[in-house]
Amino acid sequence: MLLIAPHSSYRTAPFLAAAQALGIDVLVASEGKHSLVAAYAEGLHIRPEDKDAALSSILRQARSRPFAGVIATDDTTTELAALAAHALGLPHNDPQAVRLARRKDLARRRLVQAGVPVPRYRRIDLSRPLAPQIEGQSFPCVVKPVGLSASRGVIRADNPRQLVQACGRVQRILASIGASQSEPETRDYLLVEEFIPGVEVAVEGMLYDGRFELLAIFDKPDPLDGPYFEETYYITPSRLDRSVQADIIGRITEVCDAYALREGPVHAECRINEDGVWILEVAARTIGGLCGRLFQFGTGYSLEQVVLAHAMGQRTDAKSGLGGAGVLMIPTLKAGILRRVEGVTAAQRVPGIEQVSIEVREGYELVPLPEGSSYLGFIFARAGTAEQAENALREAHAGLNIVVAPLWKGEVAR
Amino acid sequence: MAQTAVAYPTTLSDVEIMLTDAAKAKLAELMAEADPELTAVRIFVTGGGCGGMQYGLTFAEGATGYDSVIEGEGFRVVVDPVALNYMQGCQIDYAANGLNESFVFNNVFQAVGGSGACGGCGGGGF
Repeated sequence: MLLIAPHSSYRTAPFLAAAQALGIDVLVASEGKHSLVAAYAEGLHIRPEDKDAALSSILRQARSRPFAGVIATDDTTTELAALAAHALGLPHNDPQAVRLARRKDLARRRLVQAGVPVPRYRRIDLSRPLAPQIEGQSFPCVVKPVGLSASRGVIRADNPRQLVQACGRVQRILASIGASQSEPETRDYLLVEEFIPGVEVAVEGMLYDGRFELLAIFDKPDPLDGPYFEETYYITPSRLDRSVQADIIGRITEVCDAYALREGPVHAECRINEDGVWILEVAARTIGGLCGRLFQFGTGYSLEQVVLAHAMGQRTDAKSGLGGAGVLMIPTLKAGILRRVEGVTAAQRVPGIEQVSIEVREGYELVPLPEGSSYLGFIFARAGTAEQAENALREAHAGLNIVVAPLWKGEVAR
Repeated sequence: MAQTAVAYPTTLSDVEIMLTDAAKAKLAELMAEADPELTAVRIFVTGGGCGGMQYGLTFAEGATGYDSVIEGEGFRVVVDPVALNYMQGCQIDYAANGLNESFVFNNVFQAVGGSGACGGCGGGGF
């Protein structure tokens, strides 16, 4: 199995563990030159942003040792995985379909063509004057980078002044991270779309030969009304009405059809209000961060095992386990230098809490949204019901004291 | 061949890092407002990518055995050897730039050479 992963992916280790459990040999293709996982998997050095060169390296490798399947761990490698699978004649999504799932602007245009309802939107060209491009914009609206994920750079604006400020701020974020060198459009364009009020859910599923099969719907119990849209609580099973859940599945199926996604994992984000189900995003990958740990299917399989088995042309029974489960992506509320996190042991003792995982080491900088892109850590809970799991997470989080020292950034006189 | 231990300075003078009066006053003000367990301000250096090195300051609970220290009226600054390597001969000022005030690192390129930024990829031209 070829696993294509950004060097800092949270997802590499769970996929390697799953492969080991299933007895599958894995080659990890990544930009990391010095593998820290040589004991677990071999490595192929690539630069994912240079897709042509990366693809050549993969095909050269495949000639000496053919692959049975290709998996992308994260958004940034899905297109390369699709290109590699296409070139190798392996079952996968069409590269163009995966591109649609990654590029918010292209996705919106495709959905309009397919008759799937989307919020009113416009694409902003950052190389041209802003004022004429935002004329007539209704408010509230949301500014989004076209090629980032995890709410990074997503900002709500309630009036023209805030919209101009938000566009400038996102432009600086894109410049600071050098958004995809191989795809300059992700640095040059923004999406501005109507704010959709309502409750939000995340959905995880698998596509088997074009048929969408639900793995889980996660409620997001805290309102996400901006100005930034930090992910926090994911709770499953969903407490929404069955009919609403059916509508969600129906809408995601429409979107997959519109993009022509046919195989593999799907992660979707939707909003629901009196007008129905609105798609924020359908991505051709699994859930991000460490949240995949929530999946513990009744049959004992992990999410990564389900995905690996599918890539090998096999089928696993992924019926959900009973009871409730949830994760809190611990928000980074304050910028600065992390000094310590107090109360972790007490949080771990809260009934229902499975794990409290602090991912940022002391002495490292914390950067909140919209500039930041990583979580302080994760809390996982499993309980009899979704409500009990949510309550456990809230109690555990309330006991944490995150001590942050201020950071004064120096300016360098040039 | 006999090896000679290199003496590492535990206290710094203006020759290594010079703090302007404005910087000293700001450091003293920050220390006066800090929690009691915070006894110093640490200067650190990160990065090294296309944008050059990034310089910053944060509170510290004290100096480690490897730090150099600058002491003044109402403040104590600590610097680790790696950061010091990138700051030899620099001046730290506290100055206004438009509406923003910040610590300004002058003359850092005496230690590292060049302009501190990469001209290779055209990034950051904002």
